[in-house]
Amino acid sequence: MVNSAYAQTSDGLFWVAFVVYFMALIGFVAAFAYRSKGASTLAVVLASIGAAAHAGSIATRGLAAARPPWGNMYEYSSMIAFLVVVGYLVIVNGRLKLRDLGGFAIALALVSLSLGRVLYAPAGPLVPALSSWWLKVHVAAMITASSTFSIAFIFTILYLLKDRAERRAATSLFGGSTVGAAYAGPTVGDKPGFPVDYASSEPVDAKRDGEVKGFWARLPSSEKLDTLAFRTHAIGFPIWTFGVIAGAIWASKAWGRYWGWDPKETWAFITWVIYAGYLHARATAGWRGRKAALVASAGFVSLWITYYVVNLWIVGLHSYAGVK
Amino acid sequence: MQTATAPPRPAPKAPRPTPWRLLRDGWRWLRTMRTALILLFILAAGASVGSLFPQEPVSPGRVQDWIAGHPAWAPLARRLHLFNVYGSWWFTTIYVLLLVSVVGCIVPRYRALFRQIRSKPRTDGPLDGLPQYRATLSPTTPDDVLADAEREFKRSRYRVVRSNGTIAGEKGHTRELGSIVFHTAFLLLLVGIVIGKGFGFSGQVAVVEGDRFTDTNVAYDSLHEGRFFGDRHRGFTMQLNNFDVAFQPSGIPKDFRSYVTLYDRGRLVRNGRIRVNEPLVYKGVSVFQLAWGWAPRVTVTQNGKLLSDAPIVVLQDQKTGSWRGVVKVPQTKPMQLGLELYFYNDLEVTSTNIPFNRSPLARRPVLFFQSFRGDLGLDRPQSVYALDKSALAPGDVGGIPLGGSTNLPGGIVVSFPQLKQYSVFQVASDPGAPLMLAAAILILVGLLPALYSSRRRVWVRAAPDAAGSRVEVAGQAFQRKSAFEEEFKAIVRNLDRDLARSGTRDG
Repeated sequence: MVNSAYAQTSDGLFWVAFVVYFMALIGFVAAFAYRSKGASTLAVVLASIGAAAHAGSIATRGLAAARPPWGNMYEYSSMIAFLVVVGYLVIVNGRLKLRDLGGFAIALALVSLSLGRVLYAPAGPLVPALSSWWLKVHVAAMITASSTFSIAFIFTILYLLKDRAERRAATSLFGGSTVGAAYAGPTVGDKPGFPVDYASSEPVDAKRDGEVKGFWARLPSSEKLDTLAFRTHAIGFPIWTFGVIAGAIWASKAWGRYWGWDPKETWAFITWVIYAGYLHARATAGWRGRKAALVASAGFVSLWITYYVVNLWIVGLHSYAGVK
Repeated sequence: MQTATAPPRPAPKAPRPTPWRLLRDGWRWLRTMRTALILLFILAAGASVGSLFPQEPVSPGRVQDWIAGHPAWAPLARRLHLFNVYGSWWFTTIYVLLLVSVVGCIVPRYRALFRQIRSKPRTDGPLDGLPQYRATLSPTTPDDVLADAEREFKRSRYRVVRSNGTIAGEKGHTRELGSIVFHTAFLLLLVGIVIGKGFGFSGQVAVVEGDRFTDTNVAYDSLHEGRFFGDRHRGFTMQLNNFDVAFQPSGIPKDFRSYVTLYDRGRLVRNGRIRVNEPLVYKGVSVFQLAWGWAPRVTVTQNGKLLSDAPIVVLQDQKTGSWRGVVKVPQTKPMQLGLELYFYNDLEVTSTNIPFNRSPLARRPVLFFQSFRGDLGLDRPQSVYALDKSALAPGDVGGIPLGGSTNLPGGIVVSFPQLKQYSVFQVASDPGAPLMLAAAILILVGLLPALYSSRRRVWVRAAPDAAGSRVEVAGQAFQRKSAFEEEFKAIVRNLDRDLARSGTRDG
């Protein structure tokens, strides 16, 4: 049933991906610190090579077990990491042209991969309850939504950091020099002693943003990050909603009840509620901005509880111990 | 005249909190988004409590363990319903308040949406103050400009109004409509839950191969009936002809299959197969494959007289892997006989003489027993899986391989002639399920436009000018403003192209 050649290939490629991602992370950190175009290009190439190896690892895993490769915690973690990297390469880097954020995506992917490795299980078939079309749909949706929420979380955290930097710059602005304060580009920083690079910058409301100097200047404006965070969450939320519904349909077919407040179900629900709260908060006066971003961050914490804490510390039907 | 003589009005007093006013203020408070947000977070926090404590409906055994482990806290936890959070009054209060808040938000929005859809975008008034605005000159006549604009707007699926030399278009009501549908669907979901819980039932029953059960309220090992279920059991009879379980080489189960025959009022209705994820549905009742186990057939005779002959349902002990059950034989003389069974389907013994099951298959089935003599206490209510040992004294022990038998003092013979399997079925009827499915679909259908569509308006106004016409294009988006900026640019571009084309055509 289990093809061991494929299984070994999968494990090997997993480590190749892990190591190459790690090199890409170093590249991104160097690119971020020294603002080196070459380093960031190299990092993107490395991340792409890592993603290719990772795709191979996932595909051979599926071939080894003769089923979709999302049947246990190791496989979920690997899939989530893979989708985060692909999401970065295709959308964040490809479409949004925010190459500098690669380090954050790769770091998150590496955390997910490491957790997956800790929870490693050899390639194998599933217990009967797990071989269902609805389950495949449910898990695929949950993995996609989680990866999307992970990328959204990166935007959210960066928004919070950038927003704080902008506030500080705005308060210090009135005490210091205002020369050059009217221009601060979204991705353009300023090296000490050098004037702001006006060529590629655009006017920004100086009263609100001030001039963010140094490290945080490398990030897009807080406004842009907030918009990106919202849009990414708005993609993840319907997928998560669909995933929860598909899970309920599967549960009703497998266990004869669509909802049983099993810990995994409970936390999927809590995560849904928090993200719903975020989407509402962002449209509510007095909650917009930082408060909403904190709600979104709480949603991400809840997401990780749903994935890891519930499986590792709380017992439930989702423990996959089979039918009892 | 009255106004001149009227005394100066007294300063308004603080309103007295009448019940009506309190109610109105409470309703206002409940309707705000801020309140809905807070209720959402309380709901999340409340739900998380239920995952920190074992829940009675899910795992009653673990609730007992918790109570035993924390005797000081148990009364408080029970009083706060921490072992049944999701059925507690306080959890119910949270989500009912939230839904009331949703209703309070949604009902005025229904009316507003109706008004919006019926009202047409205005064509009068200045355009140059709008967020998106551009004015140009065109060589064509105002009528041609407006005709081009109308075509352009309709192609982008705007609802178009034309008057006063102005074309106005509006679209994106789907956003509000989607949002309303999304929120309303949760009320539908609640109705589905209430119907399902109130009018449905669910029960579990273990059936040995060759045996049958009838859907009545006495047939089930455990049964939950909705408050309004009455006794609407369907009364069909299901016979388990055969049960199959297949395993992977690693020992994890690959497939469970129960082959059943369904009878209704004595007539054979259907031969079917029930697998995990493939329930059998009959008259709105679904029968699910839930679990399985062994049922060794045990016979007891005394002096050649058959006293007991039945397959015994044995339950697996998670710690040792052995299967445990009991046999109660009240007819033995002079004292009643009870047997505690320890069954191994594939017996192996460790070097320290501890028995265990080597595989899940019936390769070497052996039945061990511990006999008890005395009074079984059958006049008292008791479990079929345990002996009431208060008036029993332990007697002989023994082990019987499949097909064997063993003699006990008093002319008693215990034999193990056959090994069967049993299948555990979850039998459930949930009349709320179709409504919940509809609600789930509406939630998704409403969510997508609520998140992705945006309401926006565009105008084109053309006035005669010396060279042809003076054209104003304007636009306004209520959401996704930066995306609309791009859309507006595209509209202007297309209009320019159309106008250039009709200009050359006319010239």
